[in-house]
Amino acid sequence: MSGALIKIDEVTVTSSVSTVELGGAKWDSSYNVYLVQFSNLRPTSDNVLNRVRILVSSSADTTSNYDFGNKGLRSDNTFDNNTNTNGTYWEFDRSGNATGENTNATLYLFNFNNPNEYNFITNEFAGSSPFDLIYGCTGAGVHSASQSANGVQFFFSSGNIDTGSKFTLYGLKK
Amino acid sequence: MATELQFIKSVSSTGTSLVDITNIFTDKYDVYCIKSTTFEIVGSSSQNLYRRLLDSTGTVISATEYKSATLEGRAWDSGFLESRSNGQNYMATSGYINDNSTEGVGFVQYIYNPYDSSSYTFSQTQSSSWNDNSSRGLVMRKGISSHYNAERVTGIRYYVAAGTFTFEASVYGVQ
Repeated sequence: MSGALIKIDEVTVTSSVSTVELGGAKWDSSYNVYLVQFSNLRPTSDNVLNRVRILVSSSADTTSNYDFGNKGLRSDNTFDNNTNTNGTYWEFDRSGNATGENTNATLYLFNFNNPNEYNFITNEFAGSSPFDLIYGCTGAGVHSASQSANGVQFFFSSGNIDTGSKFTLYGLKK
Repeated sequence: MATELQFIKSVSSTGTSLVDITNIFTDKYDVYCIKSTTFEIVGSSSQNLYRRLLDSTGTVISATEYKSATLEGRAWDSGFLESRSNGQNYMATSGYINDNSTEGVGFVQYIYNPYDSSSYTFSQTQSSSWNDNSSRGLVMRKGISSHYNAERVTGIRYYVAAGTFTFEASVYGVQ
């Protein structure tokens, strides 16, 4: 049976690493929209922030072109409004690494193959924060430079990505 | 080329107060997608569609082991409602309708790591439903949930607090 969700790249962390990249040399530019799923994402350090950058020519783009707006949903208190402009990454939930805790998300990537448009994402996170609560965010981000990108990089505000964290990149067939 | 969204099971039920979708979570997938376009209430107004998980024996987990946070937007109201709990006996709700037969719901849910006995089970859900009991009518909900007990989960229960309902849903594994 033919399908519309095509796996392009997958990384399961087997030894803790500072960054994980999806795409790069494996990037398939034949799609308009991409889906990223990650599950069981765990940091080696407790209470750290999830961050993402795009890959340009297979290298992380660290320019100050990242804007985002997120509504932070939390089980303990009033929801957060998290926004930023001209950052060097997109930033999402806080992650904890106590037993059972991890973070999971779905991201859509738009316009990554169009050199004349900005790169956009939408993001949906659900995970456990270090404060014994569930925390997630729903929102979007843009990288405001007209250029093609060929992947995404994941990292934490400090420490490494722990063993067992799984990342998958799909293309949505046109 | 094979699809990476693998169909697992569909359910269709009429006139019941609960629907159990059993043996859908296995070691084959880490991420699951559940979608529904049918949720109709019979005989009771303004019902939420609730969820609980089923453990490794298929028994419903009704202990106070769930945490959730839900953002709700109503088309007739300029503000958004926030609901949250650090300890309740159900996951974030998946629709809110009354007993008008022309109403319904559409929702998509993702379930993460249910079969991993060393991980909590997480969920995110987004629903669009119609409830015109007091005002006209669209209710949007975006919710996240976790089952804060690291144990193997094999299925899910949908239920209402009163009356019965008609329900259809399909479950997919994300390869």
